[in-house]
Amino acid sequence: MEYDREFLTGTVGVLILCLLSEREMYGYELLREAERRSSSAFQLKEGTLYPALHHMERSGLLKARWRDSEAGRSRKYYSLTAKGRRQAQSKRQQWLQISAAMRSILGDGHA
Amino acid sequence: MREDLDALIEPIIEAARIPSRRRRDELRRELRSHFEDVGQAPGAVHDAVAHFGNTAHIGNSFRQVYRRDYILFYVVKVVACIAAATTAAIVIEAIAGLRLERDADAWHLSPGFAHAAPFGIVLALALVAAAEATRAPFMRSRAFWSLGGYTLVSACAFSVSPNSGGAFITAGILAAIGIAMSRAATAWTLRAALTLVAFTVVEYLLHQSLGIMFGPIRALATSAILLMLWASTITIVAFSDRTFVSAFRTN
Repeated sequence: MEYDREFLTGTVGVLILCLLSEREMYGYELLREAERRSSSAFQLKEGTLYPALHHMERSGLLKARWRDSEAGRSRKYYSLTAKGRRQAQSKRQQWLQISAAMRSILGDGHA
Repeated sequence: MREDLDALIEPIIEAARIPSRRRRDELRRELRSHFEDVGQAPGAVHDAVAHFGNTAHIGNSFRQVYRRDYILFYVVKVVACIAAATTAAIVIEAIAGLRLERDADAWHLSPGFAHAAPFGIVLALALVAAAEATRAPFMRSRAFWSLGGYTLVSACAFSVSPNSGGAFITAGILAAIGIAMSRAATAWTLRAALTLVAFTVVEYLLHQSLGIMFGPIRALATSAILLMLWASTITIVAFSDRTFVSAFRTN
C-alpha cells in the first residue's frame, strides 16, 4: 500500500531507534527488518535510510563499527548510544500515546 | 556491474561534499557493502540500483548531514587565504618601501610604509572578499557573507580610527576593478596590463578629486606596487580554490 509521504515524515528516525534498541544492525538488515515486521507496509528507501543513519550517528544517537560477518563480509553495524536509548524510549512512548489516541478517534477500524 | 555501482555511488559521494577523505571512503564502502548484501542473483543489483532513489536527492541529504564540516572547512580555507594574502601584501609593501640610507650605508623603511602597509592589508582583504563574493557558481549567501564580512571589518576599523574609512572605500573600488580585470582576459599579461591601467586611472582620479598633488607618474608607480599585490592575492586565491576543490574530488 502506498502511504501519503506526510504520514511517514518523522517515522524513519523512530523506526531506526526502535529496531536498534533490540540489537545492533547494518543498513540492509534494518531495511529488511522494517519491511518484515510491518508486513511490507514500510518499504524504506535506501536513499532515505543511509543519510538518516549518518545524521543520527553525528547527532550522537548511534555509534557504528565495522564488523566481519560469519560469511567473511565486512559490514557497518549501528547500535544505540546512551543518548540514543533515552531517545528511543521517549519516542516509543510518544508514538504509543499518539497511536492509542488515533485509534480511539478512528474507532479501532469500526465505523 | 561494478560500473553500474560506480555510476550510482560516485555522484552521491561527490554531491555529499564531505571534507574528510576517511569519511568519504567509509560511505563508499558502506554503500558497496549494501549492494553486496542485496545479492548476487541476476538482476538483483540492477533492481536495487533502480530502487535506491535519485542520486542528486540522496547526495543532497548527505550534504545536509555533513554541512557543518563543509562550512568549517570553507571558513578555514578563507582564513588561510586572508592570512597568506595579507602576509604577502606586507612583504610586497616592505620591499617597495625599502630605502638605502647613503650616509649610514644601511637599509631602512620609508616613512610611507606606515600608511602603505595597512592599505596593502586592506586591499588584500578586499580582493579576497570580492573574489569570494563573485566566485562561480554565484551564490547569494556567499556574496552576502563575503561583502558583509568586509563591511563589518570596515565598520570596526572605522569605529577605532575614523580616518580608515577612505582606505576601505578605495580598497573596495580597486578590488572590484581588480577582480573584474582578472576575469576580463585569458592572457595573463593582458590582464596585468589592463589592471595596471585601471589602477593608475583610479589612483590619479581619486587623488585629484581629493585635491591631493599626485601626478600620473606617481599614480603609475603606486599602481605598479598595487599590481604586484593584486597578482599575489589572486594567485593565492586561485591556489586555495584549487586546493579546496581537490579536497572533495572522489577519484
